[in-house]
Amino acid sequence: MRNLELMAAAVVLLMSVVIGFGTADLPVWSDFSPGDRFVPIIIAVACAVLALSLGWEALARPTHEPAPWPSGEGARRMFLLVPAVAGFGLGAAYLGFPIAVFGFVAFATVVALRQSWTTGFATAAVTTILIHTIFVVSLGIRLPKGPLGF
Amino acid sequence: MEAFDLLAQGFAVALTPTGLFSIFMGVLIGQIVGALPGLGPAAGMALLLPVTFGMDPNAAVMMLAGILYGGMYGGTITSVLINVPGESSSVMAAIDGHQLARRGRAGAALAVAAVGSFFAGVVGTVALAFAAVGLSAIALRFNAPEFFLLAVLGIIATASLGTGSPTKALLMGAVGLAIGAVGTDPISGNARLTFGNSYLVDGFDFLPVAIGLFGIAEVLVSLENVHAEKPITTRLRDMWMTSAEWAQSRMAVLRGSAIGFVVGLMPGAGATVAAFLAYVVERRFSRNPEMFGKGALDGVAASESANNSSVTGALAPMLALGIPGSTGTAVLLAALVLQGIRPGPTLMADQPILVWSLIASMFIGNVVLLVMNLPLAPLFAALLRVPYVLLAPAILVFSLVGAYAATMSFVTMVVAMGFGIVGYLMIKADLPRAPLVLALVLAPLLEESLRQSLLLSLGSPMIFVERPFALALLITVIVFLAMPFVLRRFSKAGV
Amino acid sequence: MSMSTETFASIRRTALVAAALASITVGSEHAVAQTPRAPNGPIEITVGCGAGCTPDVLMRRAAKIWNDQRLISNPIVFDNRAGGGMAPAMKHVLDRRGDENSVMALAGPVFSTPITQGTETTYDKFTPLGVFVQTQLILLTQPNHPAKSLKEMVEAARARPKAIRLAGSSAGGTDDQVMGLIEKATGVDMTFIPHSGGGAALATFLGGNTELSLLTIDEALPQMQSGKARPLAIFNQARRTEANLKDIPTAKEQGVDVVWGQVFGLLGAPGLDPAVLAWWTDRIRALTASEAWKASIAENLLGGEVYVGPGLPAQMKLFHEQRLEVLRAIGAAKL
Repeated sequence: MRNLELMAAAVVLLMSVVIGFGTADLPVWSDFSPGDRFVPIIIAVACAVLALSLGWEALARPTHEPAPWPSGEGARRMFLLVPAVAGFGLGAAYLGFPIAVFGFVAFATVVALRQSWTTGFATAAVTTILIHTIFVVSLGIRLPKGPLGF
Repeated sequence: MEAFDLLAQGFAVALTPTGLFSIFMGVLIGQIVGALPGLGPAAGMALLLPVTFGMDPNAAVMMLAGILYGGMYGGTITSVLINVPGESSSVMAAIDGHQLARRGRAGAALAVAAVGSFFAGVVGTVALAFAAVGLSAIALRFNAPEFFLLAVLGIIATASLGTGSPTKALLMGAVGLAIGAVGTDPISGNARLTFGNSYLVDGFDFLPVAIGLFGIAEVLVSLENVHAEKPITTRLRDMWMTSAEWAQSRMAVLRGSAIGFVVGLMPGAGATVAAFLAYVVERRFSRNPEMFGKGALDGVAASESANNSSVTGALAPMLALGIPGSTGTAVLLAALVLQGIRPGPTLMADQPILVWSLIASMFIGNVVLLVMNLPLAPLFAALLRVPYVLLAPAILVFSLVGAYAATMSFVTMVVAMGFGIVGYLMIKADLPRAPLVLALVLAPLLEESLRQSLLLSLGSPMIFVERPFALALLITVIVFLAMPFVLRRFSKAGV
Repeated sequence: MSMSTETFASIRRTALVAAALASITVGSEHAVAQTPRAPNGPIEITVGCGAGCTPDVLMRRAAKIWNDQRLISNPIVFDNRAGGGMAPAMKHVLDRRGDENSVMALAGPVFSTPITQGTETTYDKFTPLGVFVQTQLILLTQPNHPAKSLKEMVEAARARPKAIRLAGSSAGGTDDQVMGLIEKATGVDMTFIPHSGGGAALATFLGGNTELSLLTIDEALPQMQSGKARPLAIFNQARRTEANLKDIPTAKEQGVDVVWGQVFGLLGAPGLDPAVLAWWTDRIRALTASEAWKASIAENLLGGEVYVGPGLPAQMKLFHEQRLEVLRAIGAAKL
């Protein structure tokens, strides 16, 4: 946990630097009102101060629990599911939504979550039909289709 | 009693078969789009706007308004059951409602939200019916300086969110503000922190961020916990709320409705701000504030009542002045324009039947929604009996498809995915997620209204003191800031 | 004002010339033997803002008349892609080179977004089909403000630089442009207060927080009739003739030479088949000649100048140049 907190503090500290430099070309004040950079600078300072105090808290704490990272089966699931989510995005863009939805749910249930083929495919089919019925049929949203025409 | 006559005429229109059908369709669609992650009521109304083009104007407006307030009921369902805010104002329900669901109290959370929404909707509609013009005049007294102080109050309150250290809550609030600073500058229109990326020009929308941080992150963390996936097996009849639970939430419903209505009146504040303010106020009043963030039923009651009454409140300036206070009312105004009706201060006089049948329809619609939601609350809750390993992948795709459908763009979906990973890491590091999303909502309000205020006053900060409502809010801000110190003094002194 | 679209209601003289040109070219077009050909299948109109925004409402009305009067038999569907100053919507259509079914609704941001964001112009990449409807603008003040005319308001602004405030929608949008044009024409300095939308800006004005508000005629009329706002000027070339609008003087006749408005129309995908373009030219003419359309224009207090045919690309260039000039003058241009 301590390492994660220090990492979070470092990321936010980096963010405040990015905000500081990223707004360098914008005015802090214009005429009689705050300019484009006014609020970002305040946010950057707040981020930096709070990140440092989080870091200090983490280091000053006498005891610290280890971060609850998954292990064994849990880790295996994450290792398979996170890329699968990204894969769903790509699939939806190139193969269309119905195929991507079916493929993702089938993969997630059967491969990642070790359900039986029948359960997995049934879940995938139900989900695909539900999504199509709700989004496409009843709300008339034109979700991208795949090269096969569905 | 001219209003009663007009209301009776309104009911005569709303109770015709066409009227009833439009109301029923409206609230049903609202319930569905509200429940779908990503698609909010405003998006649902916009989708159905073309359908209303050929309809009778009264029926069209009754249906679209039904989507608007029906969505507030629907948003609760997904928030409570799967921790994905169905629409943005249900984010507070996602925090506490889902904790309740995990303890097997999903039915109670849904029931109290339905009752609270109903009460808020009906009381709000009564106020609208008899005082729309007067209320909208008060609403106009609220402008940039008041909004700025309101936003400051909200930012201060984020520190109290979350169950861990206030440093962490404040840090996440600051991160939310930082994310909110990305995009087109609200005043100058210059690109800011976009680094030349055209996808960042609109900044980060609240919904995909909330879907990622809450929905996707929650599903991932739950799934990696191999043994914690047993479905909730509470018996159906135990799922309803108990009388003790109702007693605990009554006052929350009242306070939430009042706060929501007032915030709703202010053009530009919105249902999310209303729900959030009602939640933090309720925390101050609650007998068990330590439960907030861990499953406080009164927190759910307050925020869900508030978002519904804010929607009703927002109709006052719309009907009396032609000012859309929210995206939803803007679509409603657009529907009038499409029908060839000119919204504005003359609307109530020129189109009394339209206005009063809308008001009558809201009474009917809220009854329909209560009847629909109350018995269904335990049934929806029973959805959680589906094994989580089968439910989880479906939740993930529904969230992602919803994110896509809200904007018809893969960018939104990618944002949701990205914040899913961020949310996962935040859970691991025990960083609270609520302050981040709420700061993201408040960021544009805070910055825009500060800069508008000083433009209006031509640079004089006295604008925050000279206006009566602003002064009142300023004093509230100071009290809020000073309270922790004062309380500490008192407790040290042993009072 | 109802959205950040900006556009130009033409100078009536130009319109007459354009109309004359258009009528002359009817014959010559046929001489070139470009037989009009309708696209196959549904026509998809991409709108760069949410359902109910001004261009969306205007094009839906047009589509309804086209379909109802059987002037177009293809089904017409709408695709709302809001945000990004219409850039994502424009990209959606620009990517469909030669696609006969993809059409973009023209609104101000088509011109102004590339200018304010400093990107490549887009108006000249589309195949323009026609500009055929305009909204006209009225400048309003508080009912109790001492200035009785635009002229007096300008004098008030001259006496107290920056003290006269206009509540409007986004920076660089129509409201900002018109204020910039007034400042440029008179040499005064006023304060523009941007809002996230027309509704919020109207609330600021009606709350008595600013001296000025700029609305389209149909938005302004109810506010005027209920005594919540008083008109100072209309930015047309000539006064409107309706009984309730004829007393509103133009800015021009008050010595402030500003004529401005918002233009709307349709744009085809790049590289559109000339035969389909000819068909659209024909259909837009049929639409604008129909009684239903004329009634809608009159009822909604719009401008109905029509620019179609061979002169259109030059007119589009003129629209662009006018916007470029204004946006440069108010410091919002990055081109």
